[in-house]
Amino acid sequence: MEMNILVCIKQIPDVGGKIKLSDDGREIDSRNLGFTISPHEECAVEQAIQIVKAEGGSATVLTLGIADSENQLRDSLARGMNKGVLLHTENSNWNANQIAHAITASIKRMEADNGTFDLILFGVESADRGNAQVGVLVAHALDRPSVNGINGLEIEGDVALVKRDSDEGTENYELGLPAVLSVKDGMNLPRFPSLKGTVMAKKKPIEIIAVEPDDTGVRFLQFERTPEHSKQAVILGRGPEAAADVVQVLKQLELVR
Amino acid sequence: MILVFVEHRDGQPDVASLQTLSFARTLAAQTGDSIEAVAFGPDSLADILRDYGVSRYHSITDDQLTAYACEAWAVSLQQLTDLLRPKVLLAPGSVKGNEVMAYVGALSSLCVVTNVCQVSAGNEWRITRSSWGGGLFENVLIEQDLALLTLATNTVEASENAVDSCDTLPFTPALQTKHFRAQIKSVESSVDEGMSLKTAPIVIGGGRGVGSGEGFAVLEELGEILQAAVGGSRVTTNNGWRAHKQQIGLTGNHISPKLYIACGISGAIQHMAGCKNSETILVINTDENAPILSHADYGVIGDLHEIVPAIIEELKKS
Ligand SMILES: Cc1cc2nc3c(=O)[nH]c(=O)nc-3n(C[C@H](O)[C@H](O)[C@H](O)COP(=O)(O)OP(=O)(O)OC[C@H]3O[C@@H](n4cnc5c(N)ncnc54)[C@H](O)[C@@H]3O)c2cc1C
Ligand SMILES: Nc1ncnc2c1ncn2[C@@H]1O[C@H](COP(=O)(O)O)[C@@H](O)[C@H]1O
Repeated sequence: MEMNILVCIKQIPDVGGKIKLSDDGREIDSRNLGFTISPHEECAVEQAIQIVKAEGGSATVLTLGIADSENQLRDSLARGMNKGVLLHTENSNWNANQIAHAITASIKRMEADNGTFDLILFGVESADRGNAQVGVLVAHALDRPSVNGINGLEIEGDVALVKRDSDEGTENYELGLPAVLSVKDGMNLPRFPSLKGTVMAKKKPIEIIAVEPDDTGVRFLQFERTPEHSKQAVILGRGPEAAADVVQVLKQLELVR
Repeated sequence: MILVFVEHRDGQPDVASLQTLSFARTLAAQTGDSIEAVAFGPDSLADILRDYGVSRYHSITDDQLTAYACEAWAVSLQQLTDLLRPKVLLAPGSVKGNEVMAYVGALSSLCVVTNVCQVSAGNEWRITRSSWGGGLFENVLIEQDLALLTLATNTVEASENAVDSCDTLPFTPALQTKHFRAQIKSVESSVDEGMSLKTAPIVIGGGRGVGSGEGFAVLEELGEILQAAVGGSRVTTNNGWRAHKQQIGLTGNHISPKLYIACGISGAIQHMAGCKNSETILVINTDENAPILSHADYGVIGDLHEIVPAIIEELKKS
């Protein structure tokens, strides 16, 4: 069965070991930082590419964010997604409900024009806020079945065979399509964009739509630092000469005799 | 009233749920509310719930509720919440807790705040939640009558504080077939194989600095001598040097060994999220300014491919 798939991704600054905040604490100071998406979303993109390769169809990638988020769409297009949608906003400090409302509205519009998405894929949680909400909110708004945090997916006709790890073990689900699924990192090994893919991605279409947040019941105030772990390690030494000291530490900790 | 959603296995609440009950007590102390609990569970849960300060237990029963079905659970919770009108519905921030609460929020057109660490309940409810994989706190204000919250795991310890009695009140929700569109068909229990990252007393982690899949051979050799489990950063799983189930970090394994030896790992916040509970951290890194050194106890500066073999030699000597 030809599959029409949508994957939602979110651009975030690639922060590394320390996060710098803006003076008002409402933003990450992202000067000098690169941008990326969450590994969960990378796996969702990979899954969509694999399914469309196997079954035929089309895979669209969507993000809601500032203009620069287009780079993350291009990255997904370079990996093999077919087209992009940017829900453009000047300020991306939106909460999960606001994001879900805007994404739902644009899905409804796209589906009216181009037919239903058999699968809509999300990451289980965004890399910055980690609300673990948007996928479920969109599923409910579209009245479709959903599972959050899946580790396995196979398409059999118009059924999605889904696996999810929980404390109990691996849960198996069978969902009728169309369905909404939120993917967990590790479900597959995401490919890197190829040189050819990167060149081709420049020609793939990206639709840009301006969006505004609506009013909801939770208001973002600011970010705050967690108590810093600034231990400063004891430097045992440089190079192989330090090996004896390492073994000494292992002995102190009673991990070797 | 504060209503707590409790998950359980064969009538035994899980640790995250017990932590949630303990957290509810500190919140109740601020607001002067009583604590009630709701679960898809047997009457016998009441005994243990009483020990954790719950005065009324709403036991949801329905013939179709044999296996977990997110929508059905959420519709049940929402109907009960409509009836009881609590100030707060609080759930553990587990896979199912977050999923069910997201649906409850969707059903009631309200926002849910997940991974909550702190609540100050004054005129305005100010919530601190864990954000950026635990790298930052995020403060939000609740501007709706019902606070829908999930608690970040391990925010508080589970502690008992018994009340005199806990009544069990059955509740039968009005469910439709469509609420069971996504229901568990079967569960395969996972088998633990060999030295696991989660239980090994020593864990050795390799990062981009290892350089290749073959480069892990020295870490494996050290692992064998120390009887340690070997894992890797996301760079190593992403490059196919290690399997994803050996990933350490936010989206991989959360480890808490006696000693974590991190080789060629820079210490990104998402990596630290998975290893910060290690008792001792020893770092081997070429860069004396690597961020991981400010989370570590010991460091050796230099090339891991020279240092690890030297450690192996030294261990063989003694
Ligand atoms: C939402 C999200 C979730 C994530 N989840 C995870 C996760 O679960 N786990 C995880 O690990 N990452 C995760 N990441 C990725 C994370 O942000 C970092 O990209 C990753 O941890 C970096 O891996 P690394 O330290 O191996 O590589 P790098 O950051 O490139 O660091 C390599 C280090 O090796 C040192 N080095 C180089 N050569 C040598 C040598 N010969 N000898 C000794 N040292 C050397 C360098 O000085 C450097 O410090 C996540 C990211 C996001 C956005
Ligand atoms: N701004 C956004 N644009 C597109 N998709 C998003 C956005 N924010 C969140 N998502 C999607 O929703 C998932 C869950 O996000 P969250 O509920 O914030 O944890 C993410 O992994 C993305 O797939």
